[in-house]
This record gives sequence, C-alpha cells and structure tokens, in this order.
Amino acid sequence: MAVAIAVILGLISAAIIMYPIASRWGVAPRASTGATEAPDAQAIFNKISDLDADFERGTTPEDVYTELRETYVKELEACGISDHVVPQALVMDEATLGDEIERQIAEMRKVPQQSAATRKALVCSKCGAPHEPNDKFCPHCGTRLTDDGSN
Amino acid sequence: MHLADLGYPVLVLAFIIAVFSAAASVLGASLRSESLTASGRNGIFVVAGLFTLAMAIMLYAFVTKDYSLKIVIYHASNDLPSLYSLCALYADKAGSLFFWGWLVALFAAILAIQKYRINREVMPYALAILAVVLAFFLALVTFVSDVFEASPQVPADGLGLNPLLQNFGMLIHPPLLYIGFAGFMVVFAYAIGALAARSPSSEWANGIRRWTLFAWCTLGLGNLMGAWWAYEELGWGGYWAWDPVENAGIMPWFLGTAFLHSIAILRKRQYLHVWSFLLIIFTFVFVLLSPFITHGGITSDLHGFKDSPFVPYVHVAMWFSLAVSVGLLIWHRRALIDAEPPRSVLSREAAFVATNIILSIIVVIVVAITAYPKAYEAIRAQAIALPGREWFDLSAGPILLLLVLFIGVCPVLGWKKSSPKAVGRRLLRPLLASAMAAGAVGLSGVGNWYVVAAFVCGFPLFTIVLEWVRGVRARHATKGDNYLIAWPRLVWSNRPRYGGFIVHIGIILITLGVIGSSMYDVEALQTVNRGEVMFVQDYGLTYDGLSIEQSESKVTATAKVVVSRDGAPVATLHPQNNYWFRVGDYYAEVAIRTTPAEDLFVVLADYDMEGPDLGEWAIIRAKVNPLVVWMWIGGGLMLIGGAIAFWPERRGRSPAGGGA
Repeated sequence: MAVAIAVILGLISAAIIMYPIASRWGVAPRASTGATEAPDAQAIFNKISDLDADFERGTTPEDVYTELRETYVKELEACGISDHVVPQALVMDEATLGDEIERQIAEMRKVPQQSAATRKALVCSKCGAPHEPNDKFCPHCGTRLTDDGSN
Repeated sequence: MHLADLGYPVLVLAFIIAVFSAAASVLGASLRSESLTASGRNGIFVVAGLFTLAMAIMLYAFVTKDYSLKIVIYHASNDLPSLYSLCALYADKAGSLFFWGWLVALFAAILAIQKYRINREVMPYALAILAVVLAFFLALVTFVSDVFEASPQVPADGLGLNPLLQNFGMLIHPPLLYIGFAGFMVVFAYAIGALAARSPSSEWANGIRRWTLFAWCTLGLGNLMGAWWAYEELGWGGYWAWDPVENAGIMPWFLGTAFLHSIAILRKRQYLHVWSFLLIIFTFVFVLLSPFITHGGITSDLHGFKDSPFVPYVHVAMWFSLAVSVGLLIWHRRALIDAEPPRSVLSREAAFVATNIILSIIVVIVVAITAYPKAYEAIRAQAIALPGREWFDLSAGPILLLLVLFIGVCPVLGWKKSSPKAVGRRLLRPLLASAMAAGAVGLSGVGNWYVVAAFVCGFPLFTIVLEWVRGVRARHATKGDNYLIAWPRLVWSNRPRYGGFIVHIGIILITLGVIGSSMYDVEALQTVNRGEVMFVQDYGLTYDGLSIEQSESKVTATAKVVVSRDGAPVATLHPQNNYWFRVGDYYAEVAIRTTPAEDLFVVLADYDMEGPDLGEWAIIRAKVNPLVVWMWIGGGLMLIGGAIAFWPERRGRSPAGGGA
C-alpha cells in the first residue's frame, strides 16, 4: 500500500516537474527573458535618506555628499523614477550650520549698532529730536525733512 | 496501512527530484532554456512538499507513540507530552538533520516563489545550489542513516527523552538555530548564484538583505535562547561555557554579522565585493561545521551525538563547498570591481573593514582554541582536556569589548572620508559622558570591571542616543512633529538604519550583562538544617524544610527558602530536585529571584531522604549573578530592532514623504 502511494506521489511529482518542458514540446527552446531584479526604489530612497541624515549631522563632507547623491539619483532614474524631485537635505551640515548661526548672530548684533548710528545721524537739525528715515517732517518741531532723511 | 512505511519512499523520491532539480536548473541556466529552469524550480516545490509530508508522518508517529520506528523508541515514551515531540525529533542524530533539511526545503520554496520571476539570471543557480544542499540532507537521512528505520520488535513503551530537554526553552532554542542555519544556506545559495550569473552587486545585495537579516537575527536569538535555557535549566549558574557545540553556533553568527555589514556597504557603495563573498562562503562552511562538531564525538548527551555516521560526509561537504565556491570566486574575480576606495582611513568603509577583520580574528581565535585538543591529540597521540572558559574569555573577551566600543564610532564616520576635526567634535560628547559615567561608577567603588562596562557600553549608547536626539530635533524643526511622536516617526522613516541602532543597543545590554555576571558572580554551597540560615553576599537564605510530591514519571522535592536582605525578608523561593524514574537520576530545577541589579540563583543540590523527618537537612547552592537580566532584555531589543529593520520597505514613497 505504501509503495502504491509512493508510486502515485512519484507520478504526480513527475507531472509537476515535467510540465514546463512538456508544455513547450516541439517548440524551440526559448531564451530566458533575462529578467533581473530591479533595484528597489524605496531602498534607494532610504540610501538617499541615510546620506542626507549623515550630511545634515556633519558626518559626510559636502563633496562626497554631492557625488554619492548624484549616483543614487541616477540609480533612481534607472528605476524609472525620472520625474521625481528628490528632496534636498533639509538641514545644513553641523559645522556649516554653526558658522551660519555665528554669522547671523554677528549680523543681528550689527543691526542695533547701525540703527543707533543711523538714529544719531537722523536727528532734526533744528530741534535735535530723532526721527525715522522715512519721515517727511520732524515729529517734534514739524520742520520739513528732505527725502534723504536730513533737513 | 502503516503510515510510517510511507516515510522512507517519500524521502527517496524527494532525493531523486532534488538531484533532477539541480541538474535542470544548471542546464537551463547555461542553455538559457526557460522550460528547464522552470522545471528545476517546480522540482524545488515538489521536494518541499514531499519533505513536509515526511515531516507530518514523523510527527504523527511521535504523537501517536508509534514504537515501530526506532527514532520513536529511542526518544519518546508514553509519559512524554505531545508538545515535546518536536524536541524528541531533533534529539536524534538523523532526526536533527531531517528537521534542518525540511527547513531548507521550505525556505528554498519561499525563495523560489519570491524571486524566480523577478530575477531569472540568479535564481536558476541559487535554486541549483539549494537543490544540491537538499539532496545532501536527504541522502544523509535515507541512505546513510534511515530516519524512518523500523524496529524489528515493537515495545510497549519507549526509552524516553532526556528530562533536561523537556523544557520550554528547548522548543525554541534548537529550532531558532536551525532556522538561522537554513536561512544562511539560502543567503549563500543566492550570493553564489549571483556570482555564477555575474549579477551586479547593486542587485543581489539588495535582493538578499532581508534574508540575511532574518538568518542573522534567528541565529543570534537561537544562541541567546540556548544561553537562557542553560541558565534556567542546567543549574550550574552560568549560561555560556564555550563548549565546542556552543562555539559551533556562535562562529557562523560572528561571520554572518560581518557579512550583514559588508552587504550594507555593497548596497550603498559597491565596495567590499570579495570580502562579502568570502564572508558568506565561510559562514556557510561554519554552518556545516556545526553538525561536524555536534556529530563528531563530543561526549555530551545534551549537545553531541555519539557514534554518528554523518561525520565523514559533512567533512567532505565542507571542503567541497569551500573549494567550489572559492574557485568560482577566483574565476569571476575580474567581474568584481569595487567602487572607488575610501579616501581616508577615517571613513565608514574603513571602519566596516576593521569590523570585518575584528570579527574574523575572533572566529580564528575561537576555532583555534576549540580545535586545539584534537590537534594536540593528532600530533602527540595523547588526549587532553577541553580548554577552559578562561582561555576564550582572556583571548576573545577584550576583542569583543573593542567591537562594542566600535559600535559607537561607526555612526559618526562618513562615506569615503571624514574630517578628523568633525569626528573629534562628534565623539567628544559621548566620550565625555561615558568617561563621566565610568568615573562615577569608579568613585562608587563597586569594582574595576564595572568601570570598564560603564565606558565600553556607555560610549556607543550615548552615541546612538545623540544620533536620535539630532534626528528628532531635525524632524521637529523641519516637519513640525512634536518631540514624542518625532522619535517613532524617525525610526519608521528609515527602518534599516534605526532598526539597526536598536539591535546595537541590544548588543550593548548583552555586553553589560556578560561583564557583570562573569566578573562579579558570588557563590555559596552549604549544608543547612531546617531553620538554619546561610549567607551569600548580602542575602540571608533560611531553609524552611521541603515537601515531596510523586507523579507517574518523577518524585519532586520542593524546598522552601526564605530570602532576606539586610535582615528584612524579600522573597520566598522554591527550588526543586526531581528524581526521574526512567533515567534513574536527579535533576535540579532552579529558583531565581530577578531584579535589574542582580539575580539570586538557588539550587536544591541534595536533601535528607532517610531520616524520620524527611528533609531535615538540605544542601543549597546559591549564586548572585549581577546584571544577568540585561542580557535577556538585550535579546528582546535585538528581536524588536531586527523586526523593524526586516519590515518591508514601502515602495513608491520618498524618504522625505514626497510622492514617487
């Protein structure tokens, strides 16, 4: 009985494995389609995301970042995602960011100094009261001011 | 009809079809005949089906206690719960290989379903390799030692399963190891298939990432579960003894770890081609080394099989697979073109190469010490004892610590090159924080190894936490996520990266547990009379007598031990000692009190069985094992992190949330 079942299983197995060959019996062997595994778009996105994160945190220098990012974007284009606008890194390299903050702080510090200097310059020559650059008349004594802010 | 009679012919049929499948796949690939490769693929499905049928027949025989089969007689008994039928199967020499082969067959079929249509170049070769592996397993369990061998007599009861294997951990530990081994066989087949088909690494490395992660996680957890089982069940108070079989399980994991990191580099930089292939080849060889060691005369009922007939065949298979795959690697070496090498030693690529070297050195050390007694015996014709744990601890321990320290360095290095200033700036805070933590631990005076642990584990931990803090801040600033939701979103936005971070935290916690429990365990062994107190560290253990209970298979003595600390009672523990009638021996069941700081591990080693007042005295062995629980928590994190990294990457969405 066991042998009989084994023979039946053997026949079923043979039918399953021979089916692809038998179904093409008499047909010339067809070349394999040569399909290869397309790179996964999301995997490439993740690579870009990693790279962005590394760049944002100052781990990867800018030249390497630009070069690798271009490579990954090309890989993405090879997946047929050519019209996709790959987002740029959202935050600057930490060192650059630090420099930028320093620069902006310096700028901010300059602004009140400039205002004070300007305010000092923008005073009514008649009464000596300060006025804003766009004022047409002195807010204190009413003397007409010229277009460049002086009287 | 006797169902078990069907087992052997089914396996023989599967063997024939596996051989056919291998031939059809290779022939189909070389002739570029789709019908032949499809026939080979169908062969894999048929082998998986037949193997599953044979497995069902085998399990049915165990559950119904069919003593017409020798395997059931040797490993089952009337009182064996059906739940442990699977344990009984892999407690057998041929049964263990049968179970492993069945997993390979299932995985091969899954791989065929997953990838046959999307990678017609690599898959015929990969399936051919898996078919050869399956034919090898099937030949072992049919022609070399028939797993369905019938007994000339049918006894009324079997010899039973070793009581130590009748444990929940045994239902998980060996299957996880075998799943890991079978998974790495699939990874090997796919990688070597890609080598044979000259597939570009950008394709095959992506294609096999999740399989590698799956195999790596299950093998790692399998080893950890083995440690947990040894700790909970064996009663010696430890979890890792560096015995040859344990080493056989951990070595492929080390190599697999290196491979997992190498393919990360391959995917992103098309770098480390030869490293990656060599690592997966040696992972496969070391996976085969496991049965070679297990069946190779290790005289342990728990870990080894005596008089196994498989050793010479496994030996040949190891050398054959090594020779063929390295030969193929040399043959195709010109096709393996690495991308531009890193411009500086201070780069992520260089760090990964260093990681590979460190892991390979550890494997060389472990294999050298493991093989030393056999080599000595061969040269001097004189047997010597197996090297003690301290050999491994002293040689591999410091290198493993270096590796953990390295976890903290890699995330701050960039591709190709990094400026020393930027790296220094980014390492400064974690270094300072870990140095301060180590300093604080040192000042507390708990011990020098805790200082080392605080630094070695603190440094990578702080680096990872800082990476997360930066990521969360960036997400908060750019996407407006609140801080609470930003972290899970950050992790989910790039699962391979942040899942890997969680796995690394798991490894760090395991290291912490290993250092604490290896360096500062305290033990006491004492005969105590009823009501007497024994002391271990700052615990007082009062023996308060015992109770006896008898069942069909064993007599169980349960002691009552009241635990106090600094005079105040904190717990009552009930260690047991079982006398198993079938085996005629005693096996202890330990009682453990777990806290985040330490485990109190209590064993009832012996007790008064003769006096008029049973249990008047008892021999109690007590151990304090610091930080052990962090190893199991670390294992849990490895599982969670691995699952996050394994989770399929969504298709068609950009990392920044834009549409694709």
